[in-house]
Amino acid sequence: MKIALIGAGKIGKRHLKIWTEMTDVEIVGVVVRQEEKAQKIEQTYQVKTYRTIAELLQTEEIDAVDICTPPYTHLEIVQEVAKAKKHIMISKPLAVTQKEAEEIIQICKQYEVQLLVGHTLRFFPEYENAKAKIENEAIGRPGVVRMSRGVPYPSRDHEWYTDKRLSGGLFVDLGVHEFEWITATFGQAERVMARHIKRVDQAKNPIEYGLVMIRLVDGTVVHVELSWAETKYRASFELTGNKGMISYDHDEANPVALDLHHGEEEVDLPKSMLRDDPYVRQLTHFVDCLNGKTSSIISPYHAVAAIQIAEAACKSAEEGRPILIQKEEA
Amino acid sequence: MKIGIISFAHMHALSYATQLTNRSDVELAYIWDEDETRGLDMAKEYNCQYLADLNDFLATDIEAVIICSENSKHKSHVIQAAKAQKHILCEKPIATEVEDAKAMIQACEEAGVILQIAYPVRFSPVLEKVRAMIQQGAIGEVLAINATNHGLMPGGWFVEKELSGGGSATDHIVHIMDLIRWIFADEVKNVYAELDTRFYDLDVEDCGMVSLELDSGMIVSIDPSWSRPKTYPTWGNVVMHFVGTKGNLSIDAFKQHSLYYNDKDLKIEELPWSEDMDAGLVADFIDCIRTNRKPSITGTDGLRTLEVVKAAYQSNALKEVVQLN
Repeated sequence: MKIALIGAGKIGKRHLKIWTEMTDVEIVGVVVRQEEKAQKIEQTYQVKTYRTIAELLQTEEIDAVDICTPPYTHLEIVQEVAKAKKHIMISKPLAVTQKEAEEIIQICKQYEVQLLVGHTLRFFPEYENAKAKIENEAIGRPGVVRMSRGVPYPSRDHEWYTDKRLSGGLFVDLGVHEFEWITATFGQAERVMARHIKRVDQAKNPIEYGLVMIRLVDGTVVHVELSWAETKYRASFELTGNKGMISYDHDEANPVALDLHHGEEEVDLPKSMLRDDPYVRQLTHFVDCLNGKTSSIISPYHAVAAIQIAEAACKSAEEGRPILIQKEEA
Repeated sequence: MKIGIISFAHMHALSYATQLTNRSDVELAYIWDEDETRGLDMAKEYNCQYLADLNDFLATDIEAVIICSENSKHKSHVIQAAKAQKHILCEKPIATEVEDAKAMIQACEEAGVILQIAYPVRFSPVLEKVRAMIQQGAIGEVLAINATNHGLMPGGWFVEKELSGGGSATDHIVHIMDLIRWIFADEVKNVYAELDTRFYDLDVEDCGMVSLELDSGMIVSIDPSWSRPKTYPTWGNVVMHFVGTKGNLSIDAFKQHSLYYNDKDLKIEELPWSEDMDAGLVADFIDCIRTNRKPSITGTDGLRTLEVVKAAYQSNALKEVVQLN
């Protein structure tokens, strides 16, 4: 399997490391715009780099392209890659707006290429397991679903990240993780009400926080807390129904606790206590999809629905009223 | 000081009765209850006298009453007790209708008696400390709160609308709402709510979500659902996550417990070892009467929280944001 990568930011590098370690995958090229950065990538990962996508597509024989660029660039890149008849893997969110996301799906259909959207949350075993349990009616009829996700404010070296026009902001960039999982697990949203706060903390660093209420078509009441106002990663869920409840809290699910007497000492504590972390699992699944072994567990339509909820949440918070979700025609 | 209890319909009466009998400075002298069997049982349990007639009860030399009747009966019981010049500790919610609450407050003002509403969580040492921390600026300006007051479905009259006024929204919004008003001295500007009956076959709602904006601009979510499964190790929770300009603060008011894996009954139980909030509430009420001071939790506190509940019902019916004045 010959794969090319576009973008070598945080996610791009993470993917690149995994791709280079996969035995049945060959990384034929990485598109890195900046010359200096490209040299570093070449040295670190022993890969060829290209400055432009056109150059890459002309030069290399490629099966699929992994797009790891900021969401505001997705539509244009998909157009170029799909026209070249290459299958597409793409980071979440699929686009900044529902309209662009739908266009991306249309383009991939038109050129008959696969569109594999990297909603990595789906490959976190705790979320995967809960979804499977719910599909087996473990909690009976769903009642109230509570989910939380929080991280520190995205750092200043990724300015596009917090620019709402470029990333979609808190609700799109962070929210689509939960919104996609909720749609895939419980079904379509009907109505969204959201509140949003954006301020600077006492050290003049920005913080952003949102509370989103979603009423699903089936009546389930959903609450999603989204935070760029944390000092560390925070994630939890509580899924209740008339036959039970499944709850998870990242803080209470770490099997290893390390406390050192001398804080200076360097000990490499792995970020994930899984043999295959969720990114490895996702990319392995995508390779299986490209090989025709299976079809993607992530529907591009759910990716669109997630953006639709995020956009409704933005609008609701701005206008101070609930927003009805237009029914998907699927 | 002699004190009476009006009705044991609400189970909190048991705890208040225990608190009264634990004290050497007051006497639980009389019990009135619409349910004679229950009244007689309780009188026996707490070693006091049961009176079958409310007028006889109110004609005794008791100085104060604790009212634990069904929500919709608070109004008439409070007004009758006020007319009989008894100080009043009334179980929450103050009433089932805003107009009732106003009439109760007025009756107590006219009679010159204390009307205190039972929001015992204010007397939790956890909440006392957290309030002081927040007020001292521990997390800077508070911008948002994500809160839950979950419970098991209580059944009985709590799910009969005529008596309770409503289900989980009536039962559980007020606790969190009172804590927020108490900590921040802030009022609710607008309310949005989605309420439903999804866990049980009931005529009242058993779950939902409430979204608020306060006058200060603070944003708040309150989950008042009876969403605890039957296997849950305790009755419910009071959990609040505060987001501030200096940092965040989370509280789990009943986290002071040990876990009991009970093979005899095949269940896991929380064994709480936190200090009793009701002791503080009852002590405060008695101190109010003794020193003739304004109650620390007023009828207006009860009214303001009820207004939020009513706005939540209205919002749920209209599917619109409801503004409060």
